[in-house]
Amino acid sequence: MRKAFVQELLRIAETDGRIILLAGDLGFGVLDPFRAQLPKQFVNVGVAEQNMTGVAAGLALRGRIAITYSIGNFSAVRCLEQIRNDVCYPRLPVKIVAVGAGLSYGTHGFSHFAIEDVAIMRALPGLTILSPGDDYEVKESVRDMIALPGPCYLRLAGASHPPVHPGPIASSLAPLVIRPVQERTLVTTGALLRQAMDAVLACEQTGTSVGLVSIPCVKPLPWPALASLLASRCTELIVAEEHSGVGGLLSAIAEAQVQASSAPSLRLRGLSLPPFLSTQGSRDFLLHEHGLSPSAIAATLKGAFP
Amino acid sequence: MLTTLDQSSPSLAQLERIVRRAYRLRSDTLRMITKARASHVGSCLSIAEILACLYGEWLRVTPGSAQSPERDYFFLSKGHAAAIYYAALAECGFIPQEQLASYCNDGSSLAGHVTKNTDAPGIELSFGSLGHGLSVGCGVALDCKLSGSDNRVVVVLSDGELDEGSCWEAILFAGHHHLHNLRVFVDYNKIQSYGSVEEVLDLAPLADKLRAFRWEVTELDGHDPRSILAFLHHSSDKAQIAIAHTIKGKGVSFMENELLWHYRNPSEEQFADAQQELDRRLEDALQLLFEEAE
Repeated sequence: MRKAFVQELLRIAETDGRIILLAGDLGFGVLDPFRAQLPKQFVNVGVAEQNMTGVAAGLALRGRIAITYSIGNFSAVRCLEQIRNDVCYPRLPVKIVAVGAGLSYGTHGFSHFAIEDVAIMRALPGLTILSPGDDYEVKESVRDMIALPGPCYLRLAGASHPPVHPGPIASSLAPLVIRPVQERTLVTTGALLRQAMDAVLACEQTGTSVGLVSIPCVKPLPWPALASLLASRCTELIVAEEHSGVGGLLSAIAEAQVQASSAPSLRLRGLSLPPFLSTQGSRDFLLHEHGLSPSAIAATLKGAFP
Repeated sequence: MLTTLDQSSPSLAQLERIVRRAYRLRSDTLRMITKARASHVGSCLSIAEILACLYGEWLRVTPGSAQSPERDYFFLSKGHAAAIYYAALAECGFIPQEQLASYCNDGSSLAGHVTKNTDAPGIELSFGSLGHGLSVGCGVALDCKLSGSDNRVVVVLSDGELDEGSCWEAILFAGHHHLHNLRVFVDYNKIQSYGSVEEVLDLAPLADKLRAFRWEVTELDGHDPRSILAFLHHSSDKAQIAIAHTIKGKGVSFMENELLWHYRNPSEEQFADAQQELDRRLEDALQLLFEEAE
């Protein structure tokens, strides 16, 4: 996903001199093309995320579109107060990018698991949160992120996987139907979309049809659109996320459902990560350990409603 | 220990203007804080001369040019000194003088810490948590440098604020990137908010630290307009910082050098006493000015 991100950002930044990319001393290999082609629109600010965010705010005050880039929790959680006070409250065009969402850096240990970031960032006012599920969603997220006037948080997995969408998508701000909504429907966000798709495909092979919807934009949650998609048929909604069960996509949907003046009568369940993930390991290993591998998800989809 | 900078001396007229302005800023601040029963009077009074040398003098920004890309920028990173900053903005017509009385009132745009809002053009960004302003200033300075624009960026920090690690990230950054368009003041009044700087987290030797971070450092009397102006007029190829030796609560003898006045709001009586003292000290200051001129 990193490559798709950089390619798309570079393409846009070539003709938009407002864009300036700040890196927190990371991006080796990945950001090289951007740095090489647009050196005046790139600054490595060093391992100093609070300063990176403040500098981004200053650049934004000057009319730039400032992008901060780091990995895991560093872009967001490390400098949360700067994001809150210097970016969100003044609604500045600062776009915070975190590579390594979820368990992308599984072998690096828990310091590098970005699995509470959605919960934390959702509480900040005026912050759009984009969590693309494949490279097509990544490219559209980058376009949407730049086009939006205010603060954005874009969280990307590291490596790419085979895309789930057949081609480019129209918008990352809307719910995306991958498989038509059924009585039982799976909704997810981020790179887990691949595992979710594989689970749904596995179910189809054994005769069980499950709906699949991707939500690349967790905030603002496109609830009216999602509710109307689900209203027709869905009675059981399973929310799978590579994130804590606290405060992520499940919570966002539950909040919306509770607060909506009219909502489909849905039973809602979550598949998420427990607190204090045991151990470390590859993403696939950790997903499997915690019930989020394709086979584990498929088993949930086929079984009694959890 | 003052560093002499080779600049032509300011005129008597300018010095008088600054002395009078600092007096009015102190007076307005005392009035606002007394009425609002707010804190931070000591923190405000220590920067009266600094603000008086910037607003209406050296800082190139007016209500008319508050949005101009060519303006100078000012960031009050020690955002708790909001009262005197609002007073400086009122002095220059950014906000109406009458609005100062609404400081900390319910629903007022003049919050206890500097808050950007549409009612007060000239406030670039809000600051209340320490350690944010210098980074923002660096971002502005960086863009100005990259675009070849000759704006100046001023940031005022408190001494206690330098406890925040984020300040040092910014200090490293500005030194490394030669942000020569940056002029920073440290309001070095030696008292932070639960003890003296020396007993809490001693910054000394501060000048040495900042020089090591590749800044051009000037130590000056933060209550002497000549020194402040000389610092502002000086150019360098490095980022510039003035360690302004100041007195917390300066201008009102019973407030000077007292931690208490970081917090306590003056009573009406104390305000009256303070105002009288300010009046007296203004006369003395002007007399001294005229004597020196002869």
